[in-house]
Amino acid sequence: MLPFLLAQTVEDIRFEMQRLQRNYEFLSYGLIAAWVILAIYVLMMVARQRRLKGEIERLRTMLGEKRL
Amino acid sequence: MRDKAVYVLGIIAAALLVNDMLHIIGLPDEKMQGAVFKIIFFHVPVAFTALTACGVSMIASALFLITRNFLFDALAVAVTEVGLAFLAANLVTGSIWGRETWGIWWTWDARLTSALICWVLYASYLMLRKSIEEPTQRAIFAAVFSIFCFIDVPIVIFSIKWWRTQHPQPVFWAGGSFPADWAPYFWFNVLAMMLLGAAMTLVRLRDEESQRELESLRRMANAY
Amino acid sequence: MEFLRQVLVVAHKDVRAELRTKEAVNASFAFALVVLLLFSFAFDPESETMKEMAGGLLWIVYAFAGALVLNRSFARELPNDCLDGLVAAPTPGAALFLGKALANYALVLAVELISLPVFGIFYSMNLMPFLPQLLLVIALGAWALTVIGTMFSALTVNIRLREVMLPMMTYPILAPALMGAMRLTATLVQGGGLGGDMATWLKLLIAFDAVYTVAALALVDFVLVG
Repeated sequence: MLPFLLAQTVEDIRFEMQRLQRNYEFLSYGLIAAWVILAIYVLMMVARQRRLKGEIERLRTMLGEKRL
Repeated sequence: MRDKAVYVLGIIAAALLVNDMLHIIGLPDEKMQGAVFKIIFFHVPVAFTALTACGVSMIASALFLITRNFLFDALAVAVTEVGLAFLAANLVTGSIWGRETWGIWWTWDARLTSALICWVLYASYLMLRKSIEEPTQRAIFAAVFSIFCFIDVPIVIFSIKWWRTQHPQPVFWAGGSFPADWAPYFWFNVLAMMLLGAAMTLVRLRDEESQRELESLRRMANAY
Repeated sequence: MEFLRQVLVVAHKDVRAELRTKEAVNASFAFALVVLLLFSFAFDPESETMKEMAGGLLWIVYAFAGALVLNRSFARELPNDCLDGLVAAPTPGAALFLGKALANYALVLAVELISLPVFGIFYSMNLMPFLPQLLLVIALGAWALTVIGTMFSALTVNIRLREVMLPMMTYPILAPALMGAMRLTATLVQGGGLGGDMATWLKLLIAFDAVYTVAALALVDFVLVG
């Protein structure tokens, strides 16, 4: 609030509002970026899990056929 | 059983995070930096989690060398990878925060530099694991390297702090003050991040186990 | 006493093997020379700011050239299964490691001491006034490089992409030691002493050497024997 009280002109107030706006923008960029990184990592793990599961299945059936 | 644990941990973490978020939005802006300062509620807990992950990985590596139980090896690699993801989140939020308060994306500030060195160290741990085929050898070598890395972390943090305090810094930590009544939410967020990290580690452990199963199946297939 | 003798036998063997071919030392010195040459294009070698950068430059050359020597330390034992023979011999892994580290230390120091006057001449620096202090810094920094490099040479000996993995692992771990050595060298070149703030860097370098020597000796058996 303090900068608003100290502001002398319309120009100052507009500048201060812009600064606050930008502040919020960067806060949201930061949070979004961080969550996106964690989400991508989780998706990578899930994809890897799926790939491994598929390959295990394939090998299992292959081994089963050989045994017969 | 493990799936349940993942869900329980995840739900508790999410509930804590949502609860904290609602409170944090209601808090007044920080005096000097404004709203962007609130990124600290995310930035620092993530760093704590990453550092804890390094410690857990060191302990798991040491336990593997003593007991030769491969569960500890799997835990070490899982926790290191999760820690790297958290450290990456920490670096990126730090960079965006720096862009707003300092006006630049990156500065060779003490904290940023040490975080980057730790990131590179543990990334090379994962690369080392990738390049060794034989499971026992991979586990032993990786455990030794992990212990070497963990010894380095305090030395790196100390030395870079010392290096930077002697240099005129391009920008200063823009006097962020942390009000006392913000602290509970901060610590709840730390707890939430730790739980989230634990849940992710459990998920990663399952990957590691599948990987192991696959390797033994492959050996069987070759034996036929 | 027996331990010391075993260490010296291994060190002696390694130095002699290297002196017969001089492969690693020659390559390492030639590499140092090339890097010193190339750096003269990166900065203006005549300028005053060169003195501030000299410490960093010298240690980057040393770190890169040293890796060439260290890379071969355990890889040399691979043909004819020499490594298996060494591990099977009735010597503790710590003695084998320490012997190899001492041999590497001698070789790395030799390369560093030969390239030091070249550095002084190319970048017109009179190193004589502070030579003893500089030699102390070089001795400490070279040991940090050697102990980490020898350990990781043992770690990477059997793996794919050995030449890539060794620097990837070595340099980040060495960061604090290199920082200390660079800072100390730069201060010496600019006419400062090793007291005050610099004493802390010196202590850091000594602590780094001590901590990693102990850690390597404690853990090397896991790497060599399994």
